[in-house]
Amino acid sequence: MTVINLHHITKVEGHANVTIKVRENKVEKVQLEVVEGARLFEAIVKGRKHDEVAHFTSRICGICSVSHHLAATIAVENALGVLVSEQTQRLRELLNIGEMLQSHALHLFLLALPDYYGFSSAIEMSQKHKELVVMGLNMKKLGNEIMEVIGGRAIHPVTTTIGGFHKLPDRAMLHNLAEKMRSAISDAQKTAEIFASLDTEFFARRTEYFCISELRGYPNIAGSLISTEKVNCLQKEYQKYIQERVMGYSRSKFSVSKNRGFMVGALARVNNCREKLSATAQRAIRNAKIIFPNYNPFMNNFCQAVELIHYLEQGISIIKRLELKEESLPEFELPKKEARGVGIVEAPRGILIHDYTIDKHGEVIAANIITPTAMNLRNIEEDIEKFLPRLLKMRQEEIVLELEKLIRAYDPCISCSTHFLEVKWE
Amino acid sequence: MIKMEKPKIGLFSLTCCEGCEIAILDLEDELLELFDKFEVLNFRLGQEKRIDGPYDIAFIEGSISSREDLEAAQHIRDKSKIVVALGTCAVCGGVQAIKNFIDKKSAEEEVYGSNEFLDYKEVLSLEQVIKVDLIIRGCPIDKYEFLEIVKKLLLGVHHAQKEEPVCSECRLNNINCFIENGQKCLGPITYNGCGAPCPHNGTWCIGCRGIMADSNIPAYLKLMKEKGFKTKEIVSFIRMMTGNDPLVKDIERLYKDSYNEKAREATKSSDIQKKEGANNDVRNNERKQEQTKSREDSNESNKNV
Repeated sequence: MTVINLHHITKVEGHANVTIKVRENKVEKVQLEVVEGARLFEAIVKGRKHDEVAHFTSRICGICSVSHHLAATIAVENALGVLVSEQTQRLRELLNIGEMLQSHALHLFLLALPDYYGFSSAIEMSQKHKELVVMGLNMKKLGNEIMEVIGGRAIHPVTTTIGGFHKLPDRAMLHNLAEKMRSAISDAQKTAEIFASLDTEFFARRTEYFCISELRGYPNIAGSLISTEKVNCLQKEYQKYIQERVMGYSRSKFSVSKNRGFMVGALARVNNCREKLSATAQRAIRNAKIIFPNYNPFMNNFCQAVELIHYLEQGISIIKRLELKEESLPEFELPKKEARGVGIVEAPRGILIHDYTIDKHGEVIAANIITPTAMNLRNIEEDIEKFLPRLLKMRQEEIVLELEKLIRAYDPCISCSTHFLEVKWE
Repeated sequence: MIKMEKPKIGLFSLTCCEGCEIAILDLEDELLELFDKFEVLNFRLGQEKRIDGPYDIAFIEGSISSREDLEAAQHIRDKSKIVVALGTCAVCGGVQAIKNFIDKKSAEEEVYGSNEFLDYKEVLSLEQVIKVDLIIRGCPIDKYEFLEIVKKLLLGVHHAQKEEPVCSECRLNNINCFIENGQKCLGPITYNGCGAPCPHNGTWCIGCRGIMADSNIPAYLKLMKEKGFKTKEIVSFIRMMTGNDPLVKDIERLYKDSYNEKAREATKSSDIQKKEGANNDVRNNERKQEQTKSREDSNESNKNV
């Protein structure tokens, strides 16, 4: 019997192990274990005041702090019945776009691409392909600059509050950003071409793909919950379609929909909403001759590259139309009795759900946070189970690399998995 | 000139959001040159290769929240000449340290449905389990502060931390004082060095850089009580980031005497406030007025530029 261990998988955010047992060319056991220390966010957020929740939960993750911050803010606003202005909505969309650009660039160039070019790290890759790594770093830097201008800081934003912004961005800096974003579109197109041309494994397993969707516009920070299997519901009804289950002797909760795994993230967004992508982004898909809807999880990488093009263009359009007026924050009262609010936004890795119940003192008394990576874990395992048999003829190092490429394609953000997880398959 | 060997380093994450490692990767313009100065033996997020030391410098982010974290920290200490604690989680315990102040059994049961498998470890900072040579504060660390410290490490120069409260930053920059407006803020007892990005942008100082060693905590408590905050509220916002700090960990017991005395005074002043109709809404309104005024002021100065 052979045992293959991937201990603390590299080039993913957070700590995860995979253990596989193979006997006589048959897969006996696949075990995906998230070994991040349990931080128990849903329990420790209790008692936080309504104005602290976003700052507190942004610390769930260092790459996607902005999406946690926004989801928390919106959930609290929904609980307290606070309505925000159009300007606030646009600024928040722009802030989220900054995070998409930064996160996708980091993932595509620093974590995913080295595998395909045969390097063990982006730093090593830069010795032979410096211009590529620099292109990725520049895209990442632009995303960070957008977050700094709108959010005050790239990691854990500080300008936002319940009802809007304490401080508006500087108008001149916004125009400067729009210029940089215009210049970056060709880099984004190059990125899409690179990922379309990679020797990507041909593997397909149809699953259900979830995202949020508004009438106008590609998924960002608002919209109903939809899926490729015709789900369409209000955000606050998410529990009808997304459940957390304890599975067998697993220590954790899996996310399932109708008892099966499902996928969120760039591939899910493109599968559901590709006609809402910008024209340039749609052209990149046509030029790549890749068919959608697409059921190959490795295509999540290409979809992130396409989203770079789209989000750049969407950001430029938002800046062009922003008037930037001083607005006073909406007034609100604390609820007379407990009130619940749900906020779902698109994080770079997929939909992110924050669900809070707030009491009459304005303190959180109950919380449910489901991160996109936690939602994808079951799908990853189902993929590994189907994908692994074809790898068994390869050498161990090759099997390990292929499995890592599969897991990395999901761009997992394991620190976000606020649940401690162990899966045993027999 | 003697050619020096590149220092061998490792970057490690224990339990945290990894924001401090991301902050380092946010040094996009300097990144390639920075990593060229070192031989990186171990960096799970950034590379495949992992060599188990020995390290000249080990950078560790994250708190100790499990047995695995504890063993990893001890192992890295054994293999390293210099250990640098990165960020609030490593230096103070981070937000997850709130776990130390709640009923852990019921918390774990609530999140996982049972508590058979989980550690009941207290969340600890790095210094509580190993010897740490240098700390870099902040949640996240400031990437330029990190760069300065790394340059000094390479040159063998001592780095002096700023020993002043965040208030100095606000005063120097004419930022409206949250506390004077009746709002919570940990500025008076928190280490500056960050340039107060939170107050600059309208958010109170949440204390992420840690409680200053020579803080006058009784005076701070008295001040906040005079402003109308209840003990429970003050303890709550202190605990958001740095509850684990020995100066405030046992806050109810340590400052009990000053509490009781101040409690009586505070009750008096809160009665007066009630009579004048002071409540959250008034605080909010005052704050909004101040903010609108300061935004108008800064817009004025923007226009003049």
